[in-house]
Amino acid sequence: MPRDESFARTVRIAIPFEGSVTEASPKAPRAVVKKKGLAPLDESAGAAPFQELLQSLYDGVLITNAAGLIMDVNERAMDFLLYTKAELSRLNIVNIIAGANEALLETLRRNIEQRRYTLIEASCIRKDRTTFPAEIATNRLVLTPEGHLCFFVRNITKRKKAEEALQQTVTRLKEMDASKSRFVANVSHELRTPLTIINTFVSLVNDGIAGAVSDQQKECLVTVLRNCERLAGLIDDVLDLGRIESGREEFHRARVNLTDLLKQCHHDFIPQCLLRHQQLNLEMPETLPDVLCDRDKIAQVLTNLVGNAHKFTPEEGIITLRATQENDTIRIDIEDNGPGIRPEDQSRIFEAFVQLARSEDSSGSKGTGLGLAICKHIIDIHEGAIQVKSIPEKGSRFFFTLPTYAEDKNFDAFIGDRLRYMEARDRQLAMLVLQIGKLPAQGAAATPEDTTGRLEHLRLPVMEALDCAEEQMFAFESNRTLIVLLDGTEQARDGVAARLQRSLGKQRHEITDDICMAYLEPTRAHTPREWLAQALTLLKPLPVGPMETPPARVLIVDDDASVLNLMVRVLHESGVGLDLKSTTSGYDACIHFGEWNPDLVVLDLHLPDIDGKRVYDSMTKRLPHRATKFLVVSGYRSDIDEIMQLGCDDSLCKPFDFDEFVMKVKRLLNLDSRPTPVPLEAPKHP
Amino acid sequence: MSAKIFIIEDESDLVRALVMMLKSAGYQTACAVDGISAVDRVREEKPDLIILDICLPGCNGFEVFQQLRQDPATERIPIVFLTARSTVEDRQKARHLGAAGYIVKPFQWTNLIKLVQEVLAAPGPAAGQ
Repeated sequence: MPRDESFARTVRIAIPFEGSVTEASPKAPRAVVKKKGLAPLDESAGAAPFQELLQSLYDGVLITNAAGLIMDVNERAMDFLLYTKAELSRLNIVNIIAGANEALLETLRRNIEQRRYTLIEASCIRKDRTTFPAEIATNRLVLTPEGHLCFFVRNITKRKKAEEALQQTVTRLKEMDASKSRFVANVSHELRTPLTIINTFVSLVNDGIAGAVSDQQKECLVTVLRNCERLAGLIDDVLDLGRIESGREEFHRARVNLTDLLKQCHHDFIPQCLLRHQQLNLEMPETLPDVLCDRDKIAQVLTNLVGNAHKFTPEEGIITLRATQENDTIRIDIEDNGPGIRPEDQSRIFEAFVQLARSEDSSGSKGTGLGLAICKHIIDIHEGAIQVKSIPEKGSRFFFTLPTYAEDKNFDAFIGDRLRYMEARDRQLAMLVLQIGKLPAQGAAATPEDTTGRLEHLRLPVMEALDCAEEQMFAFESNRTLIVLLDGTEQARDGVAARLQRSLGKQRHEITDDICMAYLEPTRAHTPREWLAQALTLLKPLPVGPMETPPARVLIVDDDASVLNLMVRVLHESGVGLDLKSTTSGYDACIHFGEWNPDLVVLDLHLPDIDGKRVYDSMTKRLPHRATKFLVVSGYRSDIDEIMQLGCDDSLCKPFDFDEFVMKVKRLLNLDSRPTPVPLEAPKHP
Repeated sequence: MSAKIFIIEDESDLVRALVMMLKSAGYQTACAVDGISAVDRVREEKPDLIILDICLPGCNGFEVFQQLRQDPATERIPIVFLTARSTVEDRQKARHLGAAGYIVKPFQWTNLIKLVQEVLAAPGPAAGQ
């Protein structure tokens, strides 16, 4: 199981909270440890200024000895907790923090030894047993040789409430947006059916299938048909715009030969322009560099802009399609000598549903008012610009820019397109990076020939191991790197490295170089470039071939010590090499879970200190991307059913058979299906 | 004898329009208005070509398609989709399944007739028998 090294310095501990609540909903406390040098206390400072400083602080301060017994507090702490100083001096800090125990203190002390400080988000318990959410910063205080611990308590009720309100608003807005999109899609779809029927009958009549038609009748029918077509176009545009705006439209930006694309567009419009005696010119340099774009989408933009020019330019007009290079962008102009657009309209023309009052509408046909809005969305996603310059009575010039193709831009586009697609579907991507050999020295980029062949050998076993499609693969060849994007919700839970090692083992004779690998869990916090940069720092050599996986870690939690010991013993005797930890306490289990990152938790639902369901909840909710599996144990079928509903992996009802227990553990850890190691194959003889 | 076209479409108005245009082009017609009865009716009628909608009550067009393909009596009859669904995914799915054509509503009736003529003339599995 690959462990994300970026989190090596951050230990997250979740302890579920129990007790009455008065102000905010209970939140399990969470400790975030950050590395920080500790400043030694200036021992020469006098007692009076120290007391003055203590009392003037905005935060409540509790000073304890190393064992957590409260030694001193400030006024603010008393206000928060409703205790007197004398009462507090009889308490331990763990009595104040909901869900805290000796194990938490142990963690604090260890963090201090390692020169890291701990930030705990937890509920604090007042004298009247009510609670409030707090952020507690801890540090050491060297007043005596034994050392003291210092807790700075800040009441964060307001912040918590605001966070919750904000979260609720965001959720509601997302839901509203999604239902709006669904509504638009459904309505547009429903409109098509009656339109089809109208259109079909009218054209049947028009074509004389239902009897002879006079010229006058024919003229009426042709008008109906033209408007049917217009309505169909509007429905298509609404659907298109809805998909693009919500991000559900899939973009595939890649290297595209712009010359071909422009020639195609020019060719397609010549017949229509000839009909209206318009001249359609195509001007471009002999050679144009390739651009980075989604070919179909840019073709749509060109069709729209040239179509508009054709529609709004009178007969005998001139339309010019022109491409020019400006540094690392290509600019495409669509120019006409039609009626032009009024200056006050030019700024709004790219907004949806804006229909302009045109000075002269030669063909009598109007657009849907959505075409330019769609164009703008498409060009925005290409990180280009789209604009219009127009002089009334002289003509209009629409132009947009596209980036020229470059490998690094291609990478950003590839990742960006997929991130947007997944985000719109509320899914997340994980990134797997494989690199052949070592990074080329600065300035000595490997030639494509040098690497392509080897990446080819890599592709197949990687695709096989991850069960992914060709489209999910990306070869970033100049850096000898293969990048694979995975649906974070599924594959992330599997042992990616282990599968890859097994699969590559079979191909060992074809890949002679070292292979380095990094796997990054789903994230939304980075730009593609930062994401890759992070991945590259995590690269580690992948031992190709049959491999030794580290023993799986199993955390066993049961309050019945005899059952606990029995479970540990049968697992030891089962002959499966496992790394075991066991505890009878829910609190300890939560702390072990945070620090030790087990592959499997065997959890009894009836624990003396915290309800097992809360333990399960805090473990799964706080760290949703952990690959840890859960096997719950209980004497009550109803409790098991309830927790299985929450998505727990497996369960056992007490009393249970220990063979079944071992079998379930093996299955959850994928140990029964582990194939026997494949010996290295000798190169095939011809 | 002229070829027989079987229409599976839940909009009865559209069925009438289809019957009218196909008859004018010289074909015989038969129809079903839902996916469930369609499979049995096709087996009885033994048409030369099927026009199939995707959004059907009870059972969608793709399911009907697969049922027809699994039955030896109907597996070789060419099927043309006629649907309001215009997404790339649906078109791809139809192509992967082996549809003889895919027409999006609203459509030009002359285009439909042209496609029907082409499919019937093609040396496909049905025509080759």
